[in-house]
Formats: sequence, structure tokens, C-alpha cells
Amino acid sequence: MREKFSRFALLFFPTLVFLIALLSPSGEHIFVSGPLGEVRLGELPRYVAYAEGMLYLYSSPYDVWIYPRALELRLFYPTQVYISSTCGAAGGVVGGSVGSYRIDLTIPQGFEGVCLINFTSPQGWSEVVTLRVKAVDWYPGIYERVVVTLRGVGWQFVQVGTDGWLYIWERPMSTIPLSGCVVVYNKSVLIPEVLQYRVLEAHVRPTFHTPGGGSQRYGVFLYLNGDGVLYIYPAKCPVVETPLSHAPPPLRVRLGVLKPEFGGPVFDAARVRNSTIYTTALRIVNYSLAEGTLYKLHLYTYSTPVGMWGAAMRYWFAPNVLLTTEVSLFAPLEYWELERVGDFWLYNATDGHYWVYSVVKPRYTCMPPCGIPTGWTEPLYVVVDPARQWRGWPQVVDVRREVLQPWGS
Amino acid sequence: MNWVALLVGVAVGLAVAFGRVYTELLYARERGLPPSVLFRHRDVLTPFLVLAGAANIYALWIIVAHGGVFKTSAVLGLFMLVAAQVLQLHTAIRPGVRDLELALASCVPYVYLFALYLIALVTDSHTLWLF
Repeated sequence: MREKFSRFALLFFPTLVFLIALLSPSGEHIFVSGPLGEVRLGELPRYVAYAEGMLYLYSSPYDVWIYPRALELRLFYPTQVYISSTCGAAGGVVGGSVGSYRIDLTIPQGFEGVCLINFTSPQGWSEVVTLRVKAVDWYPGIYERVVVTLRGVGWQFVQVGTDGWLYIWERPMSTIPLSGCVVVYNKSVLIPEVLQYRVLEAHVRPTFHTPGGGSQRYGVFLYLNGDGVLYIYPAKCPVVETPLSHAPPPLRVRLGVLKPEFGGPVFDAARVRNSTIYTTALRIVNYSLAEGTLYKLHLYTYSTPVGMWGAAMRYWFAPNVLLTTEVSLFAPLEYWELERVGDFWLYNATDGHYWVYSVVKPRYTCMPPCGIPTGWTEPLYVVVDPARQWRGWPQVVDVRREVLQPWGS
Repeated sequence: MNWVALLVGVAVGLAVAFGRVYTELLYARERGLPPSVLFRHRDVLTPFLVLAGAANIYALWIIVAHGGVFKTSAVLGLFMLVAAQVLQLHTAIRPGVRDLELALASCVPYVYLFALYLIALVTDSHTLWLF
């Protein structure tokens, strides 16, 4: 009898090892020693510090600040882990099988203080991660920004180019160390427009850009009154729900030169050969290639949502030896006077102020006659202000790059 | 189920079992009697050696792979497994009359592990290693 039992037991006992692995609800993981899991730091951006078991994070007034995959939960036992937090930074159920799970942290807008994140499993294992959050005036998820200080009066149209330049009313004003679509002014995110520009003739200096496929520019409107500080963040463009663009008023200007003919001088006016309309969230841009008999004119005009409009142009004159008495690169049809204000030319016209940035006088007459220009002219930038309140292009006082530093360690 | 651990275990068990069969043959030739007369329980002991070898290797893998070497109860189990393997090797190299008892004694670690498992089930513990 005893022998019989022994003979049976010899074949039964070794199978117990396999039975444990097969019968246990968690399989072989019944053999784990130590805790069911652990919480580790995941991929943290450079502006996050970790010291003495605490994560030092930032929150933003503009949007929730998401730290993707900031924590990593590693499970050694097939169980579910419930995540809850005192500030809503994380939540839900993760797990189910052995492995590693990435956990995103979402810091609510403007949150400040201490936030606890609890990990609990039904087997009784639990862990707490402490977050300390500081509110900071910074666009969420971005490591660096450009701070631009402008000095001026009135509405300004600022464009941040991905080519590394800052444009104001289409005129290149300053280089910037990085570009981005999010511009914060006066603690608000400005509505951006996106338009692509290409270089007209790369070998002609200074370069002139026209709308069309090429590098992007992000444009915003802002109202300056004295010194204003702009923060530019390299982030994705905010969504614009209702575009603000208006059609521009018809161009009532005199463009061209007086050209000698056999029957007497004739004004060689520009005739538009083809034009393209670009509509953005803020503006309608009309790019035209116009031609006179002596020149070609690359011209674009644009509307703004602030009651002004603008233009930029560049002429190419064919080689000639002709004489003229009037060169009108840009002039309104009716105006009282053309004066020099600072770096600019100002037409006091019947329908408003015409501000022109140009190296040569935008319209001049000469007696005795002078030569018609040849080759490429300098670019002209025009801003038309019917309300007569604008005071010219602002000054770029300062451009600097700032980096978000970690705090708390 | 880790098939690699299982196959390695079965291979080890088969090697030990064949060793036993070979030594049985040597003894039988010495005595001039058929092995089945000399060793009454060889029909059970040969498959037992295969099975026990596989169980030893599998348990060893499980303990090491899941970090059991840091727990006293697991280390105890580990020692028992080593002792069991030594006993089984002994029965393979030196077949004798007390083989059945020796083989039964080498089953202690399996019973120990299963007892731990039952306790874990009852106490709702997620791990076998209670101490």
C-alpha cells in the first residue's frame, strides 16, 4: 500500500511545479518577489526638475500644459492600476498585463501648488508621486521663446518669418533667432495668419519677397502705444475660427514715368498683366505683375482688419537713355504735400496719410529733365492710413532669446 | 509557459534518466540478472527522473526570472531544489534498494512550493514568497 502511494506520488509531485504556473490566476507571475510595480520618471523636458521625490512643473495661463510620457509605470504582475490625482493631471485605469506604461501629465491652466498622483492596485500596492506646480507666463510645452521689444504708436502688422527675419508692414526690420506661430502680446495670444513668400530675384540686394510658394510668415496685428513686448513661441498655430480679412479699397495711385514720344511726353502708366489673390485669416493680398513700356512692376497690395491697407513693390526698368520730367514710383492721385518724416516719406492725401518707406523719393519731378532709372529699383513699402493717426514704422528696440529654466532644485 | 525552460528541463531529465538506465544495465551485467528483477521500481523511477529534471529546471527559471533570489522563502526553495537534484543524480549513478524513498524525499521542494501556493491563494497574496 505504502509502496503504491510512493509510486503514485513520484509521478504526481513534480507536476505540482507546472500546476502552480498553470492554475494560478496570474500564471507564473505568482512567483514575483517584491512590489507589483514601480513608478519611474519618463521623458521629461529640459525645464522640468526632479529633486527629493518631487517633480517641479510649470502651468500656463494660455492652455493646459501637457507633459507627454512624463511618468512610466512598470508592472511586474498582471494587474490593473487605478490612477487618480488631486488636480486632474492624470486619471483612469492602466495595466492589465506585465509591461511598461507611459503616463501623460496634463497640468490645468493656471494651476499652482502641490498635486498628488496616486497609483493603486487591487492587490494593495500603491504609490504616490508629488508634483509641485508653478504658474508661469509662458506658452505651454515650449522650451524657448523670442522677446521682441517694439517702440511705436498705432496698429502694427508684424510678421515672423521662418527665414529668420521679423517683418513689420512687410518691411524686413530685424533678424530673429527663432520663428513661431504663437505670438503673445499683452497677455493674450494673437490671431495669426500664415502666408508663404518667395524671393523675387535672389541675386538682387536688398532682397524683395512676393507672396507665393516659399518660406512661411506668421502675421499678427497689434496696437502699440509706446513700448510693447512681444513673445514669440515656436509652437503650432492656434486655430482661427472666423477669418477677419476684408477686401482692400481700389488702388487710386499714379505709378509710372513720363516718357518722351514724338507727339510730346506720355505718361507710361502700369497695366496689370496678371494678378493672384491670396486670402489669409487676417488679410486679402493681391499680387500683380504690371507692365509699362519701359518697366516691369512687381506689386502687392493688402487689406487689414484695422481699417488701413498696405502695399509693397519693386520696379525693373529696361536699359534706356531716355530723359523725363516726372518719375512717380508711388503717388496717390490727389495729395497736398509730400514731406520727409524720419526715415519715411509721407503723402498728405485727400483720402488719408500715405506712408512710404523708400530710399529714393517716391515721386519726383525734374527740370531740366533727368534720366529714367534703369535696372532694379529699391523696394518700396507703403502703409495707407485713412484715419491719419499712424506714426510710421515702429522701432525694434530689442530682440533676445529666452529659455525656460527649471525651478525648485 | 516558457517552452525553452521546459525543453531544457526535459533534456536534463532525459539525460539523468538515461544515466540511470545505463548504470542499471551495468549492475545487471555484474550480477548476471535482468535489471527488472534487480530494480523493481524502475518503471516508475525512469519517468520520474525525466519529470523531476524538467520540474527542477522550470522552478529554477521561475525563481530567478521573477527576482525570487531576494526573498528568504525563495532561497530556501532554491536550496531544496539543488538538494533534490543532487539526490536524483545519486539515484541515477548509484541505483540501490532505497531508491523509492530517496526519490520521494527529493519531492520535498515541489510540495513546499505547492504549500506556499495554497497559502498565497487563501491569503489573497499576489506572491508565493511569504517571508
